[in-house]
Amino acid sequence: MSDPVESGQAAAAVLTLSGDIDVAQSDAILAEGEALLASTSSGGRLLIEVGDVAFIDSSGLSSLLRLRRIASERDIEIVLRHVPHSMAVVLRLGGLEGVFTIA
Amino acid sequence: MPAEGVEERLTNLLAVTDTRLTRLDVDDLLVEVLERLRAILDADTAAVLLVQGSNDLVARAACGLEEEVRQGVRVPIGAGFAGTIAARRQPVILDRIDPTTVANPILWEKGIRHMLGVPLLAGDRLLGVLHVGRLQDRSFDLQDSELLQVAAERVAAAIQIRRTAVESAAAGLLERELLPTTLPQLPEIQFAARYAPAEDRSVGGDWYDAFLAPSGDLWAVIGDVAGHGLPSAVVVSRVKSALRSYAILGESTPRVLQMTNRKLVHFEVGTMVTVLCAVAKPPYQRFEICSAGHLPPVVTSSEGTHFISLQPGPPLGALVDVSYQSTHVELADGATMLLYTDGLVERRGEPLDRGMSRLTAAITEGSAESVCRDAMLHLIGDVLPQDDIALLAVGRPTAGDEPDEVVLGQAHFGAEHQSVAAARAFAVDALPDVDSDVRGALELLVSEVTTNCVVHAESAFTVRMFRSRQHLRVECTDEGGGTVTVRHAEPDDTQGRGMYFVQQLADRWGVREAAARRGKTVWFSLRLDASPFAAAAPTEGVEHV
Repeated sequence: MSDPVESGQAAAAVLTLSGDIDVAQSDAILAEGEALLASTSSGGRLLIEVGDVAFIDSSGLSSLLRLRRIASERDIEIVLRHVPHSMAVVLRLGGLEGVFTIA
Repeated sequence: MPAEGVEERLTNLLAVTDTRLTRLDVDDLLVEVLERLRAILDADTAAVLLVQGSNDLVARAACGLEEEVRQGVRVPIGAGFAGTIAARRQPVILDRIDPTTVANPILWEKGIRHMLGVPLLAGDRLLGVLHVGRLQDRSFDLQDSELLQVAAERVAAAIQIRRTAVESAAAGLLERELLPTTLPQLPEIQFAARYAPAEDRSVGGDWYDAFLAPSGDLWAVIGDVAGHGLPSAVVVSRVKSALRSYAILGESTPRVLQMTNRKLVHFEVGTMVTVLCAVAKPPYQRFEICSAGHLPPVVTSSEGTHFISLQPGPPLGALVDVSYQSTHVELADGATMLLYTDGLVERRGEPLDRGMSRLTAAITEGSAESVCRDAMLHLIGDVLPQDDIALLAVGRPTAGDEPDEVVLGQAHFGAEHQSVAAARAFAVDALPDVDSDVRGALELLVSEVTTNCVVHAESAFTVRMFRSRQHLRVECTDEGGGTVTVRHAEPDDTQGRGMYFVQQLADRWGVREAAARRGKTVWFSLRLDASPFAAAAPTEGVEHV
């Protein structure tokens, strides 16, 4: 598995999530993500490392979708990395399979 | 030609038609019959033309005149030789073949000198024309004419049987297509339905439909297209499809009827359709009813049985500019609303209100299934219905739970965000030895319903868990405000997926408003043996790259 910060490209910002992502975390994730997006230039990428996410619900998805909306306004690509099985199921249930770039 | 020989050959011909009848390949049958007729009648040509549309005869089979069929010769009814036979429904003997007597140039170009033709009739219905011709100069006589008429009767019967078989096969196919094979599975609504064809037809113009729109709205539809048979079934298919199309656009119920009417008036001139739609938003207690000339639903509950008083608009297809009125009905828990077509209550020579009184007397409070059963049992019994009948019962089950349920535990949580994770942990701990996919669904749904408590109701809440042999049931009771809505969120929507997940994953779910205080209980049940969480698992490509 390659390092999340890939060579050959401008260093991308990385937001690392772990544990349970629900309503209690969503504001903090949104704030942290917004700060990272603010320091990312247009055309760049924000990597969200989710390999250690144990659980996510619709509130967690909402914060990711809000980040994605802000990112797309600024032409920044959001990439979810190492999506665990349980999170993939929830993304699929929410009809969001094609919405995030998954790597 | 000796008379005996003719009779023998005729018997021979009829035997052919009889054995061939069962095989239903009408074109082969016609060619064989025409060959034999040519021999029996000492003719050079023989042909069958069948009615197409309301005005034309089209060549269907021929011997000695094959080009008629190949060219698809079309003769207007009333014109020329075959057209005259069709119009008069009488045999015609023709001894001069030229453009003044015959519409089809192939006949005189062929050098035919004498012709005999008879109509193909099935009862009063004209199916076509059968004719024979001679190149030699010998006129057909009355004996030939009688013989040809006997043959025509058999040919007509064969065509009719084949058509009926084809029509009933097609209608049966449409019937299976037109009536939903599964009704929506909702925790809060039970459906039951019946369709009974009339005694003499395989399919009529009655149908029912029930579906969920993307908004979560539930549509229950019943309707009746005037007429019977395949043409009506085709109209049913179109009306059903139009209603569904406008409904999923999120149009209001009166507007959906209005738009469907506009489509019918424009594209299906001369059709007349009565329809009734009952539409409800989650949690499916209050129904909006809109009727286009259809009989009112009947509601049965612990308070008795009564018809819903409606302001029906005109049937679809009747008028260009129409508008429809809504009536609202609340269905209490345990109540059932029955939508039906007139075949259930109408009897020849009897006023309609008598049939309707019979219906209110026949049904009592009970499950949707028992209401359908009682209606059919007491109003139809073992009599073959004169008209086809469709029934759709929409029932709200009583809030009774499975009898063998045991309490797994209950816990109270405060109105803060951290309670959501605590409630998940409580739920998972209450049922330690459960399949991992069921646990995945349980964690997600507990998270969603408890998030609603702390975010929307802004309230502390209590989670209770129950288990029966096959189900796990979770109740979450709050003391706050707010309602529960299911929305189908688009990929771009950042919110609105919570209750949608509940709807997707729960085997059943529902909402009970607290009777004497603020608050509500949202409950859901999960099957312990099969989780839709596993079924929703991605099949490819979202793992690591």
